[in-house]
Amino acid sequence: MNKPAIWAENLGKNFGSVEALRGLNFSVPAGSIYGLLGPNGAGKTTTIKILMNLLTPSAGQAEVLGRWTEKLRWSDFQKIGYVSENQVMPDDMQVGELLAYLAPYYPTWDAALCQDLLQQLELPTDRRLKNLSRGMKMKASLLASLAFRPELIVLDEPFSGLDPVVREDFSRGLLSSISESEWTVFLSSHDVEEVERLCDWVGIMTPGRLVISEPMEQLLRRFQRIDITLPAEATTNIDWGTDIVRVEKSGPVLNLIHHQFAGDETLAAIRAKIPSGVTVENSALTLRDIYLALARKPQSATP
Amino acid sequence: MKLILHHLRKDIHAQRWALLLLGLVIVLKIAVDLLEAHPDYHLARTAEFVRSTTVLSLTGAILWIVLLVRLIQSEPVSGAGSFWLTRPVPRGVYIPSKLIFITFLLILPYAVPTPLDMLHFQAAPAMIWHNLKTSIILQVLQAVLVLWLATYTRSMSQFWIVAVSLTLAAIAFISANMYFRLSHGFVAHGIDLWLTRLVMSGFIFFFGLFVSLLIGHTVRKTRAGFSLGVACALAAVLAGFFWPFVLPSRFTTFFLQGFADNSSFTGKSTSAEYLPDWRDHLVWQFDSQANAWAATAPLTPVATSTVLAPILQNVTVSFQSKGEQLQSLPNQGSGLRDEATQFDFTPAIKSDLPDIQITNRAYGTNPPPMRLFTLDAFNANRLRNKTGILTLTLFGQMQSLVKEAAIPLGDRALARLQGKIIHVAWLPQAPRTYVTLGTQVDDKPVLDVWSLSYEKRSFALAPVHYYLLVDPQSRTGTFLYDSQPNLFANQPTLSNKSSQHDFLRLKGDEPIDRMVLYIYQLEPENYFNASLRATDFTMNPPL
Repeated sequence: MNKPAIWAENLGKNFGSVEALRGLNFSVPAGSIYGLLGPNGAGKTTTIKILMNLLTPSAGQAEVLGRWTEKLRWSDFQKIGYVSENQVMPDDMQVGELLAYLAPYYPTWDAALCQDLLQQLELPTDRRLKNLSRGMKMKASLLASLAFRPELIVLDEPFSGLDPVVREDFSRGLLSSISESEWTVFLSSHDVEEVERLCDWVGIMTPGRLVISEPMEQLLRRFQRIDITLPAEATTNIDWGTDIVRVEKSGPVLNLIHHQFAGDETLAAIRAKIPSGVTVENSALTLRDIYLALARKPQSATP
Repeated sequence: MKLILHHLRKDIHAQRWALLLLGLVIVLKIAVDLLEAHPDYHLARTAEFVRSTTVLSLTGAILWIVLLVRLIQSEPVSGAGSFWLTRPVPRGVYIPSKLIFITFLLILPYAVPTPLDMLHFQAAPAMIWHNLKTSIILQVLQAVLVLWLATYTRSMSQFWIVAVSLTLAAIAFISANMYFRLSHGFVAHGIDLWLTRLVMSGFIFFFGLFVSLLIGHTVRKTRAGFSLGVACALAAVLAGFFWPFVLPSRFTTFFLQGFADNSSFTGKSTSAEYLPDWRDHLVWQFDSQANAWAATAPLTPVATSTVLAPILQNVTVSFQSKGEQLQSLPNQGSGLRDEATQFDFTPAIKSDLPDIQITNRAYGTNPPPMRLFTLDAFNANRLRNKTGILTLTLFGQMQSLVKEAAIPLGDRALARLQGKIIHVAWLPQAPRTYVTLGTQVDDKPVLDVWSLSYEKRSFALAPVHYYLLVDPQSRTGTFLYDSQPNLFANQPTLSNKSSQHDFLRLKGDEPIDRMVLYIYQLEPENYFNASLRATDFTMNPPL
C-alpha cells in the first residue's frame, strides 16, 4: 500500500485560550484529490498552515510527503505547490519575472508546461503582480505551483471570491495538469459544488473538528435519504438509532438521513420500526445535502 | 553559489533605478568633494552650492534607507502568509545574497568616497583606515536598525511613519537623558561606569536587534522575533541607566575603538592634582551681575606644569561646617573660546614661542582666574568665618595644545598640511552674510581663515582653534577672536570632512605682510575625575 501523501494524528491548535483545532485525524492517499470542506472559521486554513509548517501544532503531529511538518525544509518545497488566497506575493515582480526567478529553484521545472499554462490561463507576463486582479493573481500563483510538476498541490480556498469565468479557468488549469500525472491535490473550500466536481476524497469540518474524511464515492453511497410516508394516525416518536443523522417531517412524509446505508438490509431494519404497509423509499444525496445535514446536526455526534 | 547570484541578480534588477540614482549621487558627491578641496573654492562658496551638497548628502542617505527597506519588503519572506516560505528558497541562498547586496552595493560604495578624498588630502594612512573602519561600523549598525524596522513593518509608508516617530521619541529621550545626566553629574557615577553603561546599552540594543532580525528571516515565528527586538530595546534603555557592574576599561574601549581614536575615551580615572594648595589661591571678588561674592581660583599653573589643559565638564563645590551645608553648582565658564579661557593655554603657547610677548586685548597680561563658585549674600552672611570642609570635585577631559600651522601672511596665504588645507585671506571687513544675529560687525578688517580637514576622531568635539598673530619684528603676539559665534564649532563630528570659517578681528593697523599666524588646536586626552578637599577651610568672603 502506498504511503499517504498527508497524514495527521490527533492534530490540535490553540490560539491563546481559543481552541481552533481539536483531535484531527485524517490521511490523504497519494494520487487523490482531497477536498476539505467547512464553513468559515472551521479551521481549514489553520490545518493547511500547520501542514505547510507555517504554524506549529499545539497537539498531535502530521506528516507531509513522509516528513513531519515541523521538519519540512526548503528541499521539500521542491515537491509541494501551495496556493493560498492569504499569501503575500512579491507584488513588485512581473509575472514573467516571478516565473524566471522561481525556475532555477526547482529541478523539475517544466518550461513547456509553464508556457502551456500561461496560454491556458491567459496570464500577461509583463504585468506586475500588484497590478493584477485577485483572480489573476491566484492564477499566477497556481501556475507557479504547477509548472514544476509537484507531487503535492495544496490549495487554500482557491475559489473564494473568484468570478465564474476565472473559477472555470482555474479549475481547468488544475485538472488538465493533474490528469497528466499522479499528483496529489489537497484543497480547502466552502464551495461544496466545486469540491464535489473536482475531488475524489472529502473531509468535512465543523468548527475545530473533522467529522468526515473518506472517499467521495463511499460517502455518497453511505449517506442516503429515506422517505417514509406514514398514515395520519401513526406516531413519529420512534427511536431510529445512531445511524440516522437527521429526521424531518414534511406533511405525511418523514425524511431520514441515514449515514450507514447498506441497501435492503438498512431498509428492512427501518421497516421493522414502523407499521407494516408503509412506503419506504431511499434516494441518493448530493454532497451539498450531506454537508448541510452535518452542519445543522448537534456538535456532539460524529457520523 | 549559482543560486546566490541568481537571487542577487533578481534584487539588482528589481532595485536598478534606485541603485543608479544612488550611484549618481555618490559620483556627484565625490565631484563636489574634489571641487571643495580646491583652495579657491571657499571664496566662490555660495549658499546654493552649500545647499546642493546638503541636498546630495540628504538624498544619498534617504536612498540608502529606501534601498534597504525595499530589499527586505519586496521579499515575501517573513510572516506566516509569505510566498517565499513555501518555496524552495534556502536561507543559505537568501541571506548571503542579501548580505552581498548590502555590503557591495550599499555599505562599501558609501564608505569608499571619503577615504578616496582623504587620499587626495594626503591624510595619514592611519586616519584614512580609521575613517573607513568607523564608516563601515556605523553603516552596519544603521543597517541593522533599518532592516529590523523594515522586517516588522509592512510597507514603505508604515516604515517611515514608525521610523520618524521613533526618531522623535529618541530625540526626546536623549534630551531628557542629557538633562538627567547633567543635573546629576558624571561625577556621581564615575566615568568608567558611565562608559560601561553606554557600551552595554549599545551592545544589548544592537545585538538584540540583530538576533531578532535573524529570527524574522529564518524562523516563521515572527512575533517572537519582534517581541525579542522590543524587549532588547527596553533592556538597553534600562542598562543605560542602571547597569550595575563596571567592566574593565579594556572591554569598553574595545567597543568604543570603532568610534573613537585610541587617545580618547581611555576610561581611566586620571587623578588630577591641580593645586595642592589651591585654597590659598582662592580670590574673592564681588560679581555685580550676580550680586554676590564669587570665589575664583587660578588654574593657569596647571597648564604651565603639564602642558595639558583641562576642559571641565562638571564642577561641584560643597562646604560642610557644624550643621551647615552648602552645595552649589559654580558659574564656571563654559565657552571654550572666550578670552579668559584662552589664557589658560598661554603658558603652553609660551613654551612653544618663548621669545614672543603674548597679550590679550581684553585683559592685557593679567587674565582673570577661573571662577569656581558664587556665594550669594544670604549664604555669605550665614557662613561667614565658619570653618569646615570645602570639597571641590572636578570632572573633565585633559587636552593638549598642539601647534597646527605657522602661516606667513600675504596675499591669500595657504598651508597644506596632512589631511588639511588652511587658507587665509585678508578682507577689509567681515562679509555681512556670515554674521549671525546679535553680532555686531564694525568696519574693521578681518582675516578670513578657512580650513578644510578630516578629523581623526568620531563622536568627539570639533577641534577648537586658537589664533595667535605674531609680529616677528616686534616679537609680540596677540590672540585673535572670531568676529562671529561659530555655531558649529563644538558639534560632534562623525569622521567627516569639516569645513570651518573664522573671521578674525584685526585692529586695522597691523603690518599684515610681515606677520605670521600661528594656529593652535586642542587635542583631547584622558578623562579625569578628581576630588580636592580642604578640611580646615574658613569661609571668609570680604564684606
